[in-house]
Amino acid sequence: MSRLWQCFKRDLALNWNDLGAALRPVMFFALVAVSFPLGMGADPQLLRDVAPGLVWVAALLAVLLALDGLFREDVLDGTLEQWLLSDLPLSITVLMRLGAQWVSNVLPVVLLAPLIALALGISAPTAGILWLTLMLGTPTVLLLGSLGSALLAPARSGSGLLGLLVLPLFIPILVFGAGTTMAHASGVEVSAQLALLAAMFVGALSLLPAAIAAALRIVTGG
Amino acid sequence: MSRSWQWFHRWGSSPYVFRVGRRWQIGLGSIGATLLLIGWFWGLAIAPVDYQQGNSYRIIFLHVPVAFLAQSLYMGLAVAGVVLLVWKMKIADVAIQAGLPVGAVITFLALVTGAIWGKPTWGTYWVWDARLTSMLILLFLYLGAMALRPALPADVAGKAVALLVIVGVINIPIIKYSVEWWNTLHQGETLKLTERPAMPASMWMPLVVSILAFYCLAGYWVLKRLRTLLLVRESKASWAREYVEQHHGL
Amino acid sequence: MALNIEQIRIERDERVLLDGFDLQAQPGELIQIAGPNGAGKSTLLRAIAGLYSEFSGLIQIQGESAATERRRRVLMWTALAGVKARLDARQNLKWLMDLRGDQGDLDGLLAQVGLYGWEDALAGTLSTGQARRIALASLYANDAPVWLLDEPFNAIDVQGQALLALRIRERLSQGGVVLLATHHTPSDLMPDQVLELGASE
Repeated sequence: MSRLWQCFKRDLALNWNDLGAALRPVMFFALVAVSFPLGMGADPQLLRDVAPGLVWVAALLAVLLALDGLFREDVLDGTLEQWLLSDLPLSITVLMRLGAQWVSNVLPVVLLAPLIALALGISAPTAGILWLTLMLGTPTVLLLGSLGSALLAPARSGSGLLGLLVLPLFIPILVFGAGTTMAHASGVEVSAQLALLAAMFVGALSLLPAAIAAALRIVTGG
Repeated sequence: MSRSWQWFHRWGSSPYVFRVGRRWQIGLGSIGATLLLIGWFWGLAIAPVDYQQGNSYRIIFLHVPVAFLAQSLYMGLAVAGVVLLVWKMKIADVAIQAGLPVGAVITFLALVTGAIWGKPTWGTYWVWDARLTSMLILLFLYLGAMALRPALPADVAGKAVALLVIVGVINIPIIKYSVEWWNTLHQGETLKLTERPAMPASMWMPLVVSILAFYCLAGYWVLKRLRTLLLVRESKASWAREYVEQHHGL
Repeated sequence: MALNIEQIRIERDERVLLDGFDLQAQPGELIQIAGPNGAGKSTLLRAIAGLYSEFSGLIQIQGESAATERRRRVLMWTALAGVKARLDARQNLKWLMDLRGDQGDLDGLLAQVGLYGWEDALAGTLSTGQARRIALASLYANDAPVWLLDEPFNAIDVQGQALLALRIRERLSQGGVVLLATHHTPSDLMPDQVLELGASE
């Protein structure tokens, strides 16, 4: 157990030593979120209406950025093979890596999102719900997307193929994340939808690490 | 137990599949073409005019079969994926490679026919309703799986695509559910395309025939592609070379 | 028998790399797998390690043929160092040892391979030879029954080569089996068996 915790700390250290890369998703997120009012005009009512979906889509794209080439470095420096050979369960070591990735690359996005939402005119309680949907939804999105990253580990990164593979899988989380926020904004009770998002996360957490481990073994010839 | 294992095993042999597949191919093709003629003649010429939509409803004899097929084919490919990953039968990989483009074209047809139906019915080519949107996402699932193969080394690509298709199929019900919920957020729900109050027998019978026809024709098409792919993949094997020499005098 | 390989057939990209390949190794034996590039040495090693499964035939390590069991009983070196550029030498060593469940004094091991003073250096700032020596340090703490080393004398400097040969001899005397895949015979190691791959068609 403590070996796995060491893995997590080490993965965090890995990301900390490349802070620039870790902050790229949140900077991209901010840029995309800001581009929309610039592109659509600053009509406050319009912005307030589209803000939940806009913030969610921008967050998805930012997560995609954090996922691109996620395992590619491990393929190139030979560390992936050492992971595969370890007697530590691969699904758990992968989970540690993803956990570290979420903390360093995605959490900044989730923390910035309510501020952007407020700037777009969303009320404070709804921004809070938006934050909650992102907290519950982005880990699921990361898990789903990592499956794509794992399948593409031997391929060149930045080819845009990752988006094509995983965006369809993101749709349910996007729909519920943004939809729940919009429903809350119009006064609907959303605890059921939040529970559903939580359930999706739990489901993804129990099923996907094993699938990602299988994907990594498959693409290295196993 | 051993006899069924033998049967199962035989389907792993490429020359066997190639030979037996030819009979199935011819069979499915002829049955499919016949059923299509019957179904379409019945549906297009004989079935009555719809009191709401006039003659434009007749597109369902194309739209509904391809819409059903788009989803069934994906599920079939997922089954092939399981066969590949669990029983390691290479023929399943060829089947997936054969079937994905067929599925993509069929899904595209479903979208186009859905749009064509939409114009006279609701006045617009595209509506963001649950069914059409789910079908669009299905198209992306097909395209994604097709795009993965060339990006990976040849000896791992088949299994990777299989895994992706399996994950996709598990997601399809989740996607449909979420898109339906998404739809209910917006007032003014549009007419569901095939949920009609009561379709008279004179309409659903030709529809059923058309659906069966398309399933047969899709089977024909996939099998045809499968057999061609077998020849290409095993071009160095003696059975393949003999066949090509015999039939194409090369 | 530490390692038992029977009738291995490996086909890759429509080429037959191995056919009817046999190998039996007792504890303490040094086996050299020779052959030109592309002959299948790496693929064979990966198959033995349980990383590559597209082969027919039997591979057993200490009687176990399941891939998960074989993985537990091997240590493998690939052509790549297996070291993360953004972690320092000590962190990298600890990580390699954690993956394999090995224990040891990190700084002591690093000193043993001549990296005294470099413990806090990020592996990306080290030379290739020095980075390899981090992996070498991990060998000193490991006692897996079978070591699979793929071209280990490449990408390591002369001093490291000497240390590696020394460590291999030590491991052999402890009862380990070492498979060396290399087309270049190391001068101070005497293999007990030499198997040649890749008779060209």
